[in-house]
Amino acid sequence: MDADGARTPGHQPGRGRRRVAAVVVGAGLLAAGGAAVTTALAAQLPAPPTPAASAAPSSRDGAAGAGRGVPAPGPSATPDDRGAAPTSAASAPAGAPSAAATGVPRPQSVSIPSLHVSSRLLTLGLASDGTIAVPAKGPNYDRAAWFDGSPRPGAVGPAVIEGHVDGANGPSVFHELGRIQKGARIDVTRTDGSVVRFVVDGVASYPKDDFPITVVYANTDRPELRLITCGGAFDRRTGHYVDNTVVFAHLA
Amino acid sequence: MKTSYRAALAVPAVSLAAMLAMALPASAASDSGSNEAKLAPVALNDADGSGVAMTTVKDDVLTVTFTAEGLLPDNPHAAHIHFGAEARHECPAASDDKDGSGTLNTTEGGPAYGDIVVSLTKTGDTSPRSGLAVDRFDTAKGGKISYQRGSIKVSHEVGEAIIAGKSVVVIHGVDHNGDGKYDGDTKSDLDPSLPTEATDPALCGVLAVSQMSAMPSGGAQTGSGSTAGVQDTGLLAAGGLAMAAGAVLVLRRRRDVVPAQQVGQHVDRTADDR
Repeated sequence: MDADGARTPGHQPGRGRRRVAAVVVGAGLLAAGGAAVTTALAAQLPAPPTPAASAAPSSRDGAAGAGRGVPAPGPSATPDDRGAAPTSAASAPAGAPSAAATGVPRPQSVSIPSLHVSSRLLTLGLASDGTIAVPAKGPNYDRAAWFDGSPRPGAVGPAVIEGHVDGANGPSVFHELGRIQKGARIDVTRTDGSVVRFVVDGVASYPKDDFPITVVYANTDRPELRLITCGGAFDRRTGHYVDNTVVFAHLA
Repeated sequence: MKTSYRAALAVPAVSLAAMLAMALPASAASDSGSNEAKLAPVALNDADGSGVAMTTVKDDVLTVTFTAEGLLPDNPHAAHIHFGAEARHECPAASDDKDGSGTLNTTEGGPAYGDIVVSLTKTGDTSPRSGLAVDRFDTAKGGKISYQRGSIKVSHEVGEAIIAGKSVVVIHGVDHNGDGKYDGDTKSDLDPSLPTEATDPALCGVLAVSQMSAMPSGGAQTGSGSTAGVQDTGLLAAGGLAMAAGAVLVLRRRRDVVPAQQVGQHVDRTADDR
């Protein structure tokens, strides 16, 4: 009885303490949860910019463009070289001079002042799936890379430089590429210290499953440059973006 | 003793492997290559079109991609790779119009580009035998064709000719009289059951060596998705759950304020009963 009596009054303050504790814990959870949500939202990174359809370069070779946002050639298009194409194509001797043979130095770094991009270049070849190999996870992940199956920048032809749009550290070297403006400057420094300057003709977005290699990698009459990164929607099932963003530029 | 014997054997084995490794890239390079043709209207035939063809050959296996536009719309267009050891490895000129008809048929183009060596069909056989398999060639919807096919087995001679820049892509099918279909009194030099319009060469281009020494099949997988969509779903979900749990605890406490006395009375009553 005594024990009960001692215990019974003891129950009341005990329940009160538990209620207070519940409120404290509840308030704590609310605060912590709120902080977590706020943190997650604050850490939300802006998605890669998508090039505007109007920013796409004109199709110089008259090929049936497979990409989204490849408009008809505008009045400002470069002089139509369609008339020159038949003769040059028909009479082109087998074995056009390859880029490496002309003694053009290898590329070392690329900079795009308008996007505050500057990167030392890796040199990469083809991946096993036939696409261009990309910088692997690790210290070089956020560097841009020159594709060594393409001409060296400054040689006649479509030199190809690629870079990741994002990675484990968030935005990567070419995250802002879709924002580049026509007329913007791209500088490539070569191993001999010389710099070749390119001027942007436009930027386009192409679905990876319908990538127009006959537009992007076609032979050119002058030194040109292609910058490639990812864009569009991200397919969590495949772990890849569904589009490629491609910048077209020519030697200034 | 035994170990040194093995070592002695290993030295020539390793050096032989090294020699093989050094020799391999050189021979592989000559067996693979990328080529490109700018497709332009064939002389005299007035096809107002253009296009680009690209090929990659590796170990006698061919991949072909071409796009063309300005073809006779909504009609099938036979497309081939031509090559002849004795041919000029070029597209025909007006001077190839031997019969003086004012147009060039496929046979008249022969001295320029040679015979059919690959038929660019959508499905099935790709040999010269399918050269006129009209139902297996692309139809130019709106005058455009976008073609891609890989794993085409070719002979070593043909593979080497393509890599060397000696082969020619020809897309056939023109509309000389401009009436929107293949017709006319002149029969095809290849198949007398067809009008010559159906088989005359429309677009042509020499598959010259590409400026790309290796041709990618597409773009590049340049992203991890870390900046795509809603990123920190885990943290968002955990935070949301914590907030919900906290809200439940706090609200329950508030509701408890009134019933608390009842609980107390109940406890008292229990004590009285005793």
